[in-house]
Amino acid sequence: MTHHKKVIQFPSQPLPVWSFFDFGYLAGGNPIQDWYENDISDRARFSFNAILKNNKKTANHLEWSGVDKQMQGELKGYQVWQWRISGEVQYRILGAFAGVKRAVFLMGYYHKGGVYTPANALKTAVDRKKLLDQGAYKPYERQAEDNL
Amino acid sequence: MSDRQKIISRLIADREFRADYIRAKLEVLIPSQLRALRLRQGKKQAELAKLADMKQARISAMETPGRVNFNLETLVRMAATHNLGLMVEFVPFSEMLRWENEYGQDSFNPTKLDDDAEFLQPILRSLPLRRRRHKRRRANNATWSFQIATGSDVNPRYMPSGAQERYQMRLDFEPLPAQGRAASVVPISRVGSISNPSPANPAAGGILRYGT
Repeated sequence: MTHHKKVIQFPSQPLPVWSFFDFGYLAGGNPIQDWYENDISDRARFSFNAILKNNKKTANHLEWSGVDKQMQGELKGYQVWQWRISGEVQYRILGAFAGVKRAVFLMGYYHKGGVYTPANALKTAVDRKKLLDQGAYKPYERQAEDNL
Repeated sequence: MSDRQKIISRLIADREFRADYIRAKLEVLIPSQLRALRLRQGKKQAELAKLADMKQARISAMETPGRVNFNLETLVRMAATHNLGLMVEFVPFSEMLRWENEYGQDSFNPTKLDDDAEFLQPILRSLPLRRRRHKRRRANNATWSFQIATGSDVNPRYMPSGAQERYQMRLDFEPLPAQGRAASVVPISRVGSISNPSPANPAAGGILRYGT
């Protein structure tokens, strides 16, 4: 028997490490998807998807791209972090950890000059974080769009 | 029409939409690469700033998506600071998407000039590709290799050239032979990497070796 050796490359796409979820109310509704579909620009949607793709493959959350880890003010002490999403304005999305390599997005918003849109964004995020800690939420998995 | 189809239609029709798409990817991938390079060196932003002759705040901004509008000179400066080259290339959208999907901040570890044997020893470049790969694999003792016995008893070296080409194509894209003999996978050793010498990411540069 003769031998022929052929060398090919492994598929080199890194595997996702993190799972991301949208916060959903038990009564129904996915406010993060509503925000994604209705409140942010196309460019911000592309940015969000790109950040999601990148960060889900980055094992150490301290090394995530575009993350603010130590939130101040109303969010201080709630162990909430924030991603900055570039667009025509800088959108932000707040999230928190919920288990091993699982993270839940709590609230999307933007602010300029102390004016928050929506106005009660931080308070809503705190309320949702409390529900998250109690397990009183419905997670909707957020997949990065690998074909876009 | 699906969401993706709608987006594709808009990408085809709208130049500004295409620009948003490209911008969004670069605004994440460039800062992420800069961050990965610095973290892999174990440097603080202030230390890198000193090497790059910049302020720490600028390094921080460059590592944050969307904070900096990079110009070519800034990228050249950062590439030079990291002992790396830089490619700016116009490519199809599919290639840009593949780049994004295959990129991982944890596994991003391009070879620095000091270790770039292919550049430092140009004689290697004159060797046939397979010998170069072999040398590189031996040089980088990092990734996995498997040997697969495919069960065919025909040596493609003695096939007519057309048949040999088809045979090679079949091996590239259809690893298991169609003759009904199942391939057996035999891990043989840890050998070198083609593209990425990182021991932390064997999948990035691993190879499969097929034998009959």
